Amino acid sequence: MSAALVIAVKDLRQKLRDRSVLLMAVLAPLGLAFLFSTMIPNQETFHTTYAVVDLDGGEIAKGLVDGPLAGLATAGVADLTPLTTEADARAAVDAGDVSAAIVIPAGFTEAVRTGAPAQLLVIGGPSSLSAEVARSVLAGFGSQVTAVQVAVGTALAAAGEAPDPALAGELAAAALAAPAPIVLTAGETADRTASSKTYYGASMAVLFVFFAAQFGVLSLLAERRNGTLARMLAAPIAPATILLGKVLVSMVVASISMTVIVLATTFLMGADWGDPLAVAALVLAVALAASGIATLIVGFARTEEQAGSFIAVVALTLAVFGGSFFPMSQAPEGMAALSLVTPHAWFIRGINDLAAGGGIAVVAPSLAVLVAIGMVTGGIGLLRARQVVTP
Amino acid sequence: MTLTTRKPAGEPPAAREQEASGQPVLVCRDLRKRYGERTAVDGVGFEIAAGETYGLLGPNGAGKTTSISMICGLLRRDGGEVIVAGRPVDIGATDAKAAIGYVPQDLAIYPDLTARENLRFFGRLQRLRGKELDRRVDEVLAVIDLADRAGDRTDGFSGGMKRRLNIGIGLLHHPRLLVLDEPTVGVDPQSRNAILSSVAELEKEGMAILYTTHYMEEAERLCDRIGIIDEGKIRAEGTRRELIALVGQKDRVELAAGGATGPATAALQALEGVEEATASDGRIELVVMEARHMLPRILETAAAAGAVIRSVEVVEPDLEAVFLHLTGKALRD
Repeated sequence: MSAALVIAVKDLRQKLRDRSVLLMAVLAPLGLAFLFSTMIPNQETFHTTYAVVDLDGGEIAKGLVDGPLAGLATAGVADLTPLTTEADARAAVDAGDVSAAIVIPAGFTEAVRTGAPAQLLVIGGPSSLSAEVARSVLAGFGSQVTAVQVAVGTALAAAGEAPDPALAGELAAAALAAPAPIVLTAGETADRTASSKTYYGASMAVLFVFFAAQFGVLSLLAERRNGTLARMLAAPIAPATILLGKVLVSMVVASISMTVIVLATTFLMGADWGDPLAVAALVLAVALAASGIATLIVGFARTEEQAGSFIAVVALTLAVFGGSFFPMSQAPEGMAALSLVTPHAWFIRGINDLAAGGGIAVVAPSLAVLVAIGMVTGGIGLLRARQVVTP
Repeated sequence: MTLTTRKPAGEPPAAREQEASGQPVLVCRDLRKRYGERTAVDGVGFEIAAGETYGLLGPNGAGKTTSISMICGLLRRDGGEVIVAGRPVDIGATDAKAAIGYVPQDLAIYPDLTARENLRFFGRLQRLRGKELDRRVDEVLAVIDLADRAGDRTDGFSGGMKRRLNIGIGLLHHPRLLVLDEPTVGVDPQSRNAILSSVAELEKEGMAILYTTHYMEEAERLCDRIGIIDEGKIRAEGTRRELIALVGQKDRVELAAGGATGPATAALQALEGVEEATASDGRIELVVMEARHMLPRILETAAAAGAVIRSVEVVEPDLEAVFLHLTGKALRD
């Protein structure tokens, strides 16, 4: 073990002096994670701002503002900014201070009372999602008004009373101001999807961890070419010690790469990875899996160039099928099933599981699969790599 | 550069006993290695005692590097046996390997590490630790004349400096057997001379040295005994003189002469030790045993017979001729 550490320390010293390691293991994944998370907005949350202009001031207008619109604010979907004129509202939308404006014109309540056509105004671009949401909310309120009016009219008719618009209006206003008899509440399961910042941080980290892991075992072939492997073999150490040293370097570089990305995305980009202990376990497990696969490839390659090319192809293919470039929830069913043979999918799944809270127990399935991938591929790879060390 | 080493105080008792008993430091017997249908090494065997330099002389592809790879435990052998310092050598034989210093033909150093870092790394693999490691690194840096460049990365070194470091790494742990695989290939004449002088010094200190080369002059200059290897087989083995005697070659003396060359030739022919004397076009050619010893008597006899000697050339048979005789081809084919 001591000689393996000597070899590992020597290799790490060399890697520290090699800027390509820093680029591939840290800078590239960090840059891409930042790029992806910036370009692709977080799809799990919607939030907007509305200007509200109540030019009516009547009871039903107040019911609209205090009811459905206040509900949006309470749900965290929208911030409401009260303004006094329609011109102010248009100016605020044009200036981008708010995403859309809702204007309740003067006489709105009276129009509802008398059964006259009543209008509400939404100011916003035709393709504005915020304006569309506002229109939906107001349409819902309009349907409620119509339903109440119909119900009141029907009740009066059934009582045999002569149509009295004033009475019908008062009854309708009272009905609208009363609490709704049926209230829908949203029941949500715990959110098991990491934020886009966390997702892209994780997906880029697991993509590039393969390039980071290659630096250890790949140097075995470089040492053979340079003649330093023969010199190490001439020393009083077991050949397996050399292999162990190389795999250690792969593990360490891969783990450092992942750790730097986790920390950087947390503190610089606001990613939330979840329970630190569970994340650390996932990082070590995926570093083991990547080191195992890199060892397997090196075991079958003849030259370091060939091995480097194979690792790049395998890393990118696994990344595509494993969900590093798009969430597997958006992938066809067959591809989602196929992704389960990739370490990428299991790592991302583990990170998603942590988004709902919990610790190591939550990610135990991912840990088990990642460790198994690392042990199986690494075991076969080491058997093959013995032939590199002892021809 | 003159490489000298100081034997470690704590040399293993088994090694001391083995050396005291006069047993060879290296014994290899019947080494065999095949690559598919091709036989690379076919029954190679020899021994090297402490303080002896053994040369493995042969052309490129003769099996020298394959043989020493098996001797150093770098390559699995198909047959045969290797014993170094009384311990059998195999790929995993760590104790036996601790007695071997291996200097490969190609430079085996890390270009992105400094000279000191290279030495420290290989020193640690040779089980040197702490102050002993520091001391040995400093000593080797001094003897390979790189103390003032110890902190520089080796990719900025000249070829000669790299070659010196390459050899220095093999000496770090005071090996009982030093294996030098063509250490002067691609080296400038000055560095080459320095390397040869250093090897001679190491031999004087009692190190057993296995030296492979395809340069006849190096084998003649350095080696106490020489094994001539070709196509994976040792064709002949012995001292230089034994090898030359083996093929029955004699020295030749060529005299450019004037005056009475006829009588002089007849007088020389009658001289004891001269096997043949012929004269033609002002030249007298002699075939003799031990020409250098006989030269004064030859000159004296020729002058007494009336010849005027203008120049003398002694041509001794060399290993090139031996190799040609044994294999039917030139050493550098």
